[in-house]
Amino acid sequence: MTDNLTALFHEYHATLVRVLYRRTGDRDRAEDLAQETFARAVATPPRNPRPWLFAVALNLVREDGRRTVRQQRRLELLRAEGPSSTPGPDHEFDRAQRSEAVQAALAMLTERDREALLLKAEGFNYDEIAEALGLAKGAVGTTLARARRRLVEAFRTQEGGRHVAS
Amino acid sequence: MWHPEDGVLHALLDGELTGDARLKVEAHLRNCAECDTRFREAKAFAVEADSLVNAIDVPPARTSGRTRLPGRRRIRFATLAWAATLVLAAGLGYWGQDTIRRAPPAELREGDRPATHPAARAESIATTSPKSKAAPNTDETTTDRVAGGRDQQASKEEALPPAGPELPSAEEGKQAENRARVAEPPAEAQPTAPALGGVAAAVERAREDAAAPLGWRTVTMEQAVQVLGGAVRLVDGLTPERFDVGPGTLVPGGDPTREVVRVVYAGGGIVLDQQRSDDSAALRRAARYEDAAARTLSAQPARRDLEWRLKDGFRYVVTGTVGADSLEALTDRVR
Repeated sequence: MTDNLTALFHEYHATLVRVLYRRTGDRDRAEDLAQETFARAVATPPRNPRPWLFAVALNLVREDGRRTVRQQRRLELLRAEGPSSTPGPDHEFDRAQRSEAVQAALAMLTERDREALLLKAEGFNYDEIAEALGLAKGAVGTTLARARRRLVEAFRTQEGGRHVAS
Repeated sequence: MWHPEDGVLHALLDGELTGDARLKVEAHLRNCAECDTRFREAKAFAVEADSLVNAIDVPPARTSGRTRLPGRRRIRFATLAWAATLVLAAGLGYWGQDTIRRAPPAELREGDRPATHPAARAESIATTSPKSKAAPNTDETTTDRVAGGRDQQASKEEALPPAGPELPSAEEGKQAENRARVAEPPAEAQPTAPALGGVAAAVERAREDAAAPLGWRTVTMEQAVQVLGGAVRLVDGLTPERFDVGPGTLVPGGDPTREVVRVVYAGGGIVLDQQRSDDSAALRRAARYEDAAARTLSAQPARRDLEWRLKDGFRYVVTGTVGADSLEALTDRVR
C-alpha cells in the first residue's frame, strides 16, 4: 500500500493541484486540498484511485462553504485588479489576462459543468468523469456539450465586454 | 428521422462511441447536412473550450522568502544545529543504556553515578571543549542540558527490559543518527536476552512504551499521516527518502506527549519535522533548547532550522545544512 500510495502521489499530485487550482483559483488552497485528499486516501484506500481522488478533492471544494466565499472574493479581486496586478511584457500580460477571463467564465458555469470540463481537460474518459462526479456515463456527453458551449459563450461575452470597455 | 443529440456528437468527438453506435452516427452525419453542421460546431466548441481551460495558468509554487502561506507564523529563525543535537541526545541515550545496563541498579540514583556514566562523560567533553574554555559561563547551560538528558535516560532505563540486549554506543554526532534509527539495529549488536527475541524485539518493546522513547523509526507514509493526525506536508519539488516517527522529546520544542513525524530528504541533509500540538509551553522550551544546542554543537554552524506553527496546532520545522536564504525558500515550498 505504501508503494501504491507513493506512486499515486507522484502520479496524480501535480494533476490534482492543477485541477483544484482551476476549480478554486487559489494555489495555496489547491495544495491544501490535494494534501487532504491524499490523507483521506491513506485512511480509505481507493479501489479505483484516479476518479476517487478527484471526486474526493472536488467534494472537499464543495463542502467548505467559507472557502467558497473566499474564492468568490478572490475572483472579484482578480477582476478588480485587472492589468495593474500583472505587470510585465505584453505577452505575459495577455496570458495573465486571458487566464483570468477564463477563470471568470468558468465561474459562471454550474459546478457539475465546470468540473466535467476540468476533468476532461486532464484526459479523463467518460467512465472516470461519471464516477468522479456521480453521473451516469450516458449523461457525460450531454454535460460536456452544454459545458463547452456555455464556457465559450461566457468567455466571448467577457471578451466582448472588455473590448467595449477599453 | 432520427438525429443524434449533442451529447452523442460530443461522445463521438471524444472517442467514446464504439462499435455499432459509432458506425450509426457516422453514417447519419454523411447523409444529414444539418447534423454534420452541428457536429462541426460541436467540434469547434470542444476545441475552444479545451483551449480555454488549458489557458488557465497554474502559478508555480512560491519559492520567494518574502511570501508565506496564510496562517503561518514565524516564531524563530536561528543558526543552530538542533537536529544534530537531538542526534547527540539520542546517542547519549544509547550510550547511557550501554553503561547503565552494566551497572548495578543502585547506580541509577541521582548523584551516585560512576565516572563512565554518559552524563559525566558529556560533562567532561563539555568542560574540555575549546568553546567551553573560551566561554566558561556556557558550561552551566550545557551541563544543565546534559543533566536533563541524564534524567530522561534514567526514566528510559526504568522502562526498559531488565536484561535487554546491549545497544550500540554513540561516539560521534553524525553517526548517532543512524544508531538512533531503532528499526535498523546494527550488525554488531549481540542479543543476550532470548526471551525478548534479540535487539529488534527489545527495541520494539521499548519503543512501544511511551515512557521510554528510544529514537526514530521509519514508517510508511500512511502511518506517518496516522501518527500526525492530519496531512503530512512535503517540500514541493523534493522527493522524500523516507518518513520517520519519533517521540516529541527528540525534537527541540516538541510536545513530549506526542510523536513527531520527520520527512527526510537528501540523505538527511534536509528534514521536515511536523507535529500536532496544543502545548503552549513548547515554544519556550524550544528557545531554551536552542540556546543549549547552539553551545553544544557549535562545530556544525551551517546546520540551520526554521520553525513555524499553524493556527490549527500543527508545528513544522525545516532543518538543513543550507544557507539561510535557501532554508527560507525551502519553507515556502512546504505544501
